[in-house]
Amino acid sequence: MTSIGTLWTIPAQRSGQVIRAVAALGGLVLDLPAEYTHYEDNKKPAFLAKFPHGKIPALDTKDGFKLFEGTTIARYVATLAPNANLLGSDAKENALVDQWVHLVDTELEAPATMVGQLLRGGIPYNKPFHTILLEKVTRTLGTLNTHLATRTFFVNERITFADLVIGSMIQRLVAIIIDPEMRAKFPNVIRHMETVVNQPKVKEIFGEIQYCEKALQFTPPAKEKKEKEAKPAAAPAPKAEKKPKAKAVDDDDDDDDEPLVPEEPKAKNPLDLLPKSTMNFDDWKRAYSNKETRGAGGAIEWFYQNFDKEGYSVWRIDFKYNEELTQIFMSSNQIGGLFNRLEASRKYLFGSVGVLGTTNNSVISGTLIIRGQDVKPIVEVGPDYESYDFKKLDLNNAEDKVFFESALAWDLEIDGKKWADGKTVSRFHHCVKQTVLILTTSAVQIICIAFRHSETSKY
Amino acid sequence: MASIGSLYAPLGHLRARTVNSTVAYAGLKVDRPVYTHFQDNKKSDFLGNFPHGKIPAFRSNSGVSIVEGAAIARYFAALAPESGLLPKSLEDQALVDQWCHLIETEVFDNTLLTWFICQGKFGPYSKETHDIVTTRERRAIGTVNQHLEDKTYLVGDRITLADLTLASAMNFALAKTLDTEGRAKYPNVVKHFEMVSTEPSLKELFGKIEYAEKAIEYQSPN
Repeated sequence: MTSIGTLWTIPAQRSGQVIRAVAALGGLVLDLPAEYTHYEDNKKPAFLAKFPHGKIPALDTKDGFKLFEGTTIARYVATLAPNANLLGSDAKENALVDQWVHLVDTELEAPATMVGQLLRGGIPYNKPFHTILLEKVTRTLGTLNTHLATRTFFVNERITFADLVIGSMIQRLVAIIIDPEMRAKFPNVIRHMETVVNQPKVKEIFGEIQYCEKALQFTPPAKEKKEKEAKPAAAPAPKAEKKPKAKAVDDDDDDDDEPLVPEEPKAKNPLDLLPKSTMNFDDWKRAYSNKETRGAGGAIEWFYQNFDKEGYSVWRIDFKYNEELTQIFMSSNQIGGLFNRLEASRKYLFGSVGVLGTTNNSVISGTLIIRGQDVKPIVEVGPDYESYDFKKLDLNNAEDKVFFESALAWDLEIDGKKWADGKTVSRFHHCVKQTVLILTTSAVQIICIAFRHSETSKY
Repeated sequence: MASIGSLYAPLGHLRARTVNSTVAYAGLKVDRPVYTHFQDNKKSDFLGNFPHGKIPAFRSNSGVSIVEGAAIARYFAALAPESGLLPKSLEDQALVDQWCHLIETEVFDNTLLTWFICQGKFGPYSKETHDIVTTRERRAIGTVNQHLEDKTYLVGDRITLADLTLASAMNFALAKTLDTEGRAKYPNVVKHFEMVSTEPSLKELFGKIEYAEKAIEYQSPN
């Protein structure tokens, strides 16, 4: 049988599976791409010329007709097989199928995807937001469950597009956030999912159902979201017991790349096993935020009074490729990105790093205070470290001392390149355990970011 | 012309703009029972017909309940084929669906999320989250804007459901997030909005348009 065309997707993409399931039930054939690397091929001009939004799933038919939006493609494929009645058999049934699909798209998938992003670090974690999103999910599950109390399928007692969409979504969610307690509350939804996903023609497409024992919890992000080769981490976590599935894309959003694996058990970080230090790092971070940096009673004074040189060390960080730096604000963003990717070391790291100079004539430099005596395990958690030089500072050496203090006080000058004077705007967020301090000037932008250990919130 | 049923979709309500545009543009007749939002939708007779408790909601004369604004709008469009809101070919219909889906999920829903975030409705304000949502919203507006570079309508050569959906989303974005700076970046969607919102059958529904000078920001309580 001739194929409709090529469906650009990856095997684990849920919305792609739905399209393939519709085709299977409709007796239609779709080709999958011979070669496709997500995050790469969809950014290339050839792909964007066909699918300007740059996301998958995307359909490229033999007639040259092109379509994107997973739900739309699935619905379109269903219209090509009218005898399968996957959209219902009259206008009202069409509308009911559309209704259920729209409901779960917007009030189940969308909030659940956002929960995933909150829990995995794609969006800064925020407990009230998390709670509200879970309430939306629960409310929708309740509506679905009630509807299924007296029904096997959603519309007119036969399988439709709506059942495929809902079944696949629930299959994804029982692996991540619908835990045993929730499954017990919405038994009809679970029963429906198992019925749909196990239909002979689609079973292979949807694959195994994985049931989580515990819903995904918030953990600070430990690696960059992009598909990069994993760098050795300071504390490598042991592999999960279950065989991890191939990386999945939760929805059309190509920014979301969530592996469908259960939470990995936390391993002890060797830095936690160091002998207890006399200096409390949180106290230092608080002192730095609250006090003037220089002068009597200031943060630098506090530091020298409390610094434990056995338990902590001070370093200089320099970007290796300063000739590449152009706009000051872009360099500032680069520093921000560097610190974002060092999230996993937040508990063991304090940094005050800035961009000095002017457009196209600047350097990134600053100071780090770290737990322990070796900077490598601290900075290796992110992929940026290879672009920076690190030099341990000796605070008994006059030059090193001046550098350290100036980097803290933001008056560091290197080869005539200064922090500029000018208007400063400061924004302070204070919560129990965290502060982010951002200083900007009109002429030269400096970002100095103080890290704090935060268990729950991150701005 | 006989009424097709009862529609619960207050004319000023944001999310109901698409379905109300569809009714107006297609010249359909609906009954609009007296309805107070946040009150009537919690009562048992409403919930008996519409268990999820939300609007827009439609009850046909034959007693079929349909919810979800986009689904109702599409159903109405299908009832009025001569309006052109749903084109004839399956492919053009799919293109209409594609734009409707993109616009609703990546423009409107992000504008709404931005609005709620700035009101502090989703926990402590986070500039980073705000920026992420804005980036998503702008990305989608950008795609639509680019598509309209050489076109007057999103699909084909007349107004479809996709154009009504875009105009409804823009109605909201123009008032909240697509400020003077944003409008300069995406002139095609602005031009498209002005065309659709001034259609004779839609002018009254869209009413006086609000254009934000500066995108909404977080107002901290102190």
